[in-house]
Amino acid sequence: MKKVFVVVLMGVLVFIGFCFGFLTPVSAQDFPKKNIRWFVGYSPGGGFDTYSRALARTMEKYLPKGLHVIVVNRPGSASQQAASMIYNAKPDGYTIGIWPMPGLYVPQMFFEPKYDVKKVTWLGTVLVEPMVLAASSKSDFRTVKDLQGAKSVRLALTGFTGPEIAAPITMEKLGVKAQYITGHTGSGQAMLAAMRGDADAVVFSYGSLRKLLLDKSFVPLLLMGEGKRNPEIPDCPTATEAGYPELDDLVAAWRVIGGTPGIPEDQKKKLRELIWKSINDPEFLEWSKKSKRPVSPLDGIATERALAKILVQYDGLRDILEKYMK
Amino acid sequence: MKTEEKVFTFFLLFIVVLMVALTFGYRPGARLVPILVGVCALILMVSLCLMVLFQRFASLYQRWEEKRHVYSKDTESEDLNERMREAERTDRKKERSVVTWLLFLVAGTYVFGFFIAIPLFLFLFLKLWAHETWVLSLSMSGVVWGAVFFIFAYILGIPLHQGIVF
Amino acid sequence: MLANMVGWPGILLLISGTIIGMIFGAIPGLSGTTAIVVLIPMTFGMDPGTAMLWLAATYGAATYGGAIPCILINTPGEPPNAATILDGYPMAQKGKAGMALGSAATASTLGGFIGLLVTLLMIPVLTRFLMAFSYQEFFMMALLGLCIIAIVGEGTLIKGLASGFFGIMLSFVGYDPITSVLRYTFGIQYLWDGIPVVPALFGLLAIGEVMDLLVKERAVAEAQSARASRRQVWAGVRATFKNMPLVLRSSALGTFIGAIPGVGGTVAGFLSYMQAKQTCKNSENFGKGDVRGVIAPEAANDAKEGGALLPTLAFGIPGSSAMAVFLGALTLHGIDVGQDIFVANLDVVYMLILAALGCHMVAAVIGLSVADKMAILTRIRPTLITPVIFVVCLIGSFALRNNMGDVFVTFLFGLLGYEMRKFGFSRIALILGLLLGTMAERNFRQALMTSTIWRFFTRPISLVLFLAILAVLILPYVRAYRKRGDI
Repeated sequence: MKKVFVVVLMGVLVFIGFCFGFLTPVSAQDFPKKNIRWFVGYSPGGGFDTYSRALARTMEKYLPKGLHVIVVNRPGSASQQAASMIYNAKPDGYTIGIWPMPGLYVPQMFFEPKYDVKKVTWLGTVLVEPMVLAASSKSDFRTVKDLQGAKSVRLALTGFTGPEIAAPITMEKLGVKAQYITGHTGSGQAMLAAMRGDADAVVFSYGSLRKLLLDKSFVPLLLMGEGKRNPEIPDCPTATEAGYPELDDLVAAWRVIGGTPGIPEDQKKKLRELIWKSINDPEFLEWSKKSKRPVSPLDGIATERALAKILVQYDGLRDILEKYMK
Repeated sequence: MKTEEKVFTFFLLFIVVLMVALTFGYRPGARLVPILVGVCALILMVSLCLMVLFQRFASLYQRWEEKRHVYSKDTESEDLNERMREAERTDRKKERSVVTWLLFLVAGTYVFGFFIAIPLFLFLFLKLWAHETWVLSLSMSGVVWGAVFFIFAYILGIPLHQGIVF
Repeated sequence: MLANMVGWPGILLLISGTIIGMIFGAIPGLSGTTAIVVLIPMTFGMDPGTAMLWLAATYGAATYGGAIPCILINTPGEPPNAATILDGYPMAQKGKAGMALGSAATASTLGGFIGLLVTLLMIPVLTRFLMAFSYQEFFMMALLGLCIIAIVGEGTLIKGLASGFFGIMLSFVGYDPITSVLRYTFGIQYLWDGIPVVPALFGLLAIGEVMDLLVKERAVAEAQSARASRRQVWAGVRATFKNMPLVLRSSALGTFIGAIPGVGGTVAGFLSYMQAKQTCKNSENFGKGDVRGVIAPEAANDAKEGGALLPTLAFGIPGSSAMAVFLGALTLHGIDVGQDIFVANLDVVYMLILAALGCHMVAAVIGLSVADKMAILTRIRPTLITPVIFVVCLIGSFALRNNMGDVFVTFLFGLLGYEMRKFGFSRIALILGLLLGTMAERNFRQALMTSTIWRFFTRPISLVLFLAILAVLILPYVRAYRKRGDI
């Protein structure tokens, strides 16, 4: 009898709760009034997480007292899980997150993920990170021409999801006959594979490769996504200098902040201002310098325009990418 | 009990058969290793099903196990026999009750969130199942709720699931 | 530097870091990595050496903390502690939780010392060793780990193998690691990354076990000897020192495995357990509450973190997930990793090592002092303790990835674990299959992409590992045959 009572009570509570949930209106006044959730599609401690936490701390300075930006790690499927969470949340401006672009567009080109990057409310950019095509010092390759002349070049990578879509795009544009050794659990594993001779080259962000480039475990062959040479690797040509300017547009890893589609204009404007102030905050910039995590800020409108352009370019790559995605 | 064991063994067999069947629909690279492993799993599960259905197979296997364990004598088979005797004595009603309470906790967490479901579950479980006193039930629920809030929400700042109704 | 550590606030940070680390390690779902992530922002403004002291102490203590729930409630605080369950929990069931905790604390401390010492002394050798491991070797390591299914675990061999293979099949759910084809997901996005191991582990081991306690209305420990807990704790300490050769072997194994990124910390514990079972006398008691079954994995588990420092510091490639966070902390404090760290920031390296050594000592002292109190948990009536364990496991599952799906996985695997336990199937075998299945598949296929199948047998380390696999599988039968001959 007691147990029946408990079951009935829980059932009534659920029913009342459902009604409550559906009937509560979304308020647009005095935004923000509660904590903001910031989704990260990777585990704590990684690059995306570190940037997110630093920025979240800075944003709290500009929020009304007592409000926080709560970083929620939701790793899975190269950030697609987190993207789905943000995309399908209530469009009230309280759910945002960091998006690795244009990597997250590629699954959308061929499958049906639970998000559409063309509808995301873009709020700003933290970093546009250049990518580097680098050859292991154990290999015989020292220039792009060496790669182009080879019968086959073994490229180590984790897979064709996320930022690593840069690898096949680069190889295709350079006309290099590449054999892809996928399945590594992370960029570190792929780089180790190349260092011990199981692969010849890798394509990763400059940040990931930096230490190994400086200690000469890898030879940088091409810098992509950066307008000029990097002083730390002065002998490495940019893609434009090498005669492949399209790689400078296509191949760069963007760390973009985006929110749910359909956020009201007023809230969107406030979020964009908040993020822009935070990215340019002196303390955040000091952290960036100290922790060697560069930033290349863009505001919400510039981000929207830039991404729209890149996505159109990626649409043009559909035929090239299809064989890797299917 | 024998029926339960048969159901469980056949359930595992069903999963393995389903996975092996699906494997044939994948690309060659993606199905190579699953097929190798799946065939081994299938052989093992089919053998187990034969053993639960036919006592003769079970006895044959038992004799082989005893030979294999000759240097540890009877301790292995003693433990196993004891485990099986224990299983025979299990109170089925209690088993179903435990599963139901656990289901309530999981469902309650999903619907109402951790902060409501946890103290509610603890209080009701301690009062209705364990027949503990009001004081103990309320205080334990409060202490655990407080510890959860303090560690996860306050110190770690992990936003625990708030339920689908709130 | 030593003065920093024993002076103020060094000593406070060392003790507080150790306590925080032990708590994080002991609560299922939290870990040393989580602890460091939480503490990093609090280290802003500290000098690098002091910051590293605090973080290293926290992380080092968490690996011992993870052994506590293994012994008390059959649940690893962190996956690398899983092998400790094999004998730790049976010891608790026999009323010897105090002894298990005492030996775990001692073995962890000694293993941590030895791991760091070995790493320091053998940096050049370890670096070359790291480079000698390729896909073939990783595959053989995974296969060696899977062979444990054949020699440990509950129930008969056929049920153990069936459980293991079932676990391997479950490990294939999600993206195929090489081609990214989705397998066995039935259109459910949650399954794209496969069945999450840690929630499944909580379900199989913890939930399944406490369901059994509740149904049978018995506490973990039934034996009356549970009362002599404090004496037991010291008995555990003495037992560890009595088995120093085992501690040394296990620590060396753990260090080498930890130095190879990609093998996974959990393998270290299980492989160490296996070598203990194969090499120790009277090993038929393993799995029934043999203290050596706790010493071996705990020593290896702590030693592996010493090994994991090597690729982290030498190449900037994290040897473990915690090392990835450490890397971030080092960079934040202006310390560049790479071969130069041993020249440019040698003082920080020493501070890290001293902190790790220090925290193990402090953890041992704290652990041994409270072990007998913790053992009381095994005697609390199940109706009080089990609902709390249910709650802790479910929250722990959620906290890992902020995903309610993980809570459902814990629940479903809890039911599976209960039924498996009832009918004599091996849950450990299933876990091993789930953990090592993808590693084995991935490396097998990567090896075939880069060379022929014969390379598995022509690469020296791969061949040695293959022979070790044969030895593991055949030796028990050889021994049994010999014993029959002697009778």
